[in-house]
Amino acid sequence: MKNENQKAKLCSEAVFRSVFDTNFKVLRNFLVYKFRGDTESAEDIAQNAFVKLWENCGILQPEQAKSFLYTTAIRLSLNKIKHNQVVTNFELQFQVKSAHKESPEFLMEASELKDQLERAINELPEKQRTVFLMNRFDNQSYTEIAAALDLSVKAVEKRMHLALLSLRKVVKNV
Amino acid sequence: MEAQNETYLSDWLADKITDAQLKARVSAEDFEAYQKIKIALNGMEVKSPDMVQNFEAIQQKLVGKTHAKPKVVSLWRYASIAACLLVFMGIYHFFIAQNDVVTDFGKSRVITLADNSKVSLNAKSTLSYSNLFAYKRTLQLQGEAFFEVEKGSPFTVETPLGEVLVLGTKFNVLAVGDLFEVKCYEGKVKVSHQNQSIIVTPGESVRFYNGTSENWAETTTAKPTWISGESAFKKVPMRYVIAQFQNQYNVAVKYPKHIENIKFTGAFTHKDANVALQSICLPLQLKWSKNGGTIILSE
Repeated sequence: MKNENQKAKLCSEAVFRSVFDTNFKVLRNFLVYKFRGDTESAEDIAQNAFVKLWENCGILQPEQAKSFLYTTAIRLSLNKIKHNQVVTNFELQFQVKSAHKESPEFLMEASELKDQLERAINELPEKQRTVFLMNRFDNQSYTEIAAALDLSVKAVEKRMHLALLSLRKVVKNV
Repeated sequence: MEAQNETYLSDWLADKITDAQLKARVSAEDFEAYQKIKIALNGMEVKSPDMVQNFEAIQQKLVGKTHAKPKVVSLWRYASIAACLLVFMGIYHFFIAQNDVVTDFGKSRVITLADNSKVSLNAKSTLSYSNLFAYKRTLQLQGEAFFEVEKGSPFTVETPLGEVLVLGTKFNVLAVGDLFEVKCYEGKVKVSHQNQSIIVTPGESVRFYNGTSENWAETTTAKPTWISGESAFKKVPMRYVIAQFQNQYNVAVKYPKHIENIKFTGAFTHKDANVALQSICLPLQLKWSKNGGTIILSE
């Protein structure tokens, strides 16, 4: 009976909405980081992953939802890339948070550093880049990332470490 | 220094170690660079998605979609597969499966069939019957067997050489090589061989071999002699007598080619090979000797 209730929970509009609110943005960003795609197609794939989640809400436990979304989204992306024969050689596009657009000097210095970091991040290996940006941009803890991507926390920590080491080399002469 | 297992930079990013602890591990220049990267990244982001618009898009895509059904359904599928298998196994067991009874050298067996008919199977013989025997009384025989058949529906013994059809009787069937011999002890049997069929009454025997048939009558015992441990023959070609001897004692017998069709009348015991050899050889004035496991007959 307890199981029945939980199933009903994931299938209820309110619970589905809250799963969407907590996960949609980070899932979409994850796809952008991983495949360096444009935000538009990342949003389309993320939407489709939520559609699959809704279709399967009857056979999934709520705690499985997050990992299901990531696995499904990766599968859908790979299908799409294979199907369209698209080479994803997009560059990631970052923007500066409005709170930091204060002084013109800061803007000058920051934009120079931003360009260098952007380039360096684009060149990171996919696994390091994804984990690094999920942590830095979306404030996800190592434990959360490990759970979503089915990795050990130790692996996430290693990727973070190696990513920052690489970035350090590129921005040496700042 | 940059060992694969180092994670001090990720520890620092997660505030697991302090700035001071990091400074102790890296140069001042490095620390300054890390600090700059950390701050710069804090001021950067990917454009946020429009949550309302995206949720509406999902709802649009959900129109007409249904939930995946719970796994209970597939359990039913397994249950029906299991049920089908059971039915097939049942059909196989009751309608198709055959029982084979095989006797070895010197052994005989008594089998009671589903209709209470009794079959005594002589040495080196095979009897097959289906699980449906009670409904269709048909069985297959190779070798020799004595039947005591309960009254009822037609009872058929099929051999590679011909068949025997009865209604309830006692009879002996011998089907070895090209020798087919039926002897009736009680009731009536109808023996078919190729295109001929002969009705055999109690005390009568019929024999087919070499394209000829013969039948004779004698005052008989109630059962064939082999059941009580003796093989009896009446004008049987020597090669069948020797074959029967080999089946009973599991030994190879060599004999001169020209004696194979000599008719033998007599009997030999199943209990003592030397006595049996004497019974066979004396009437024909043959000699025998043993060479290893082989018995050699000579004149």
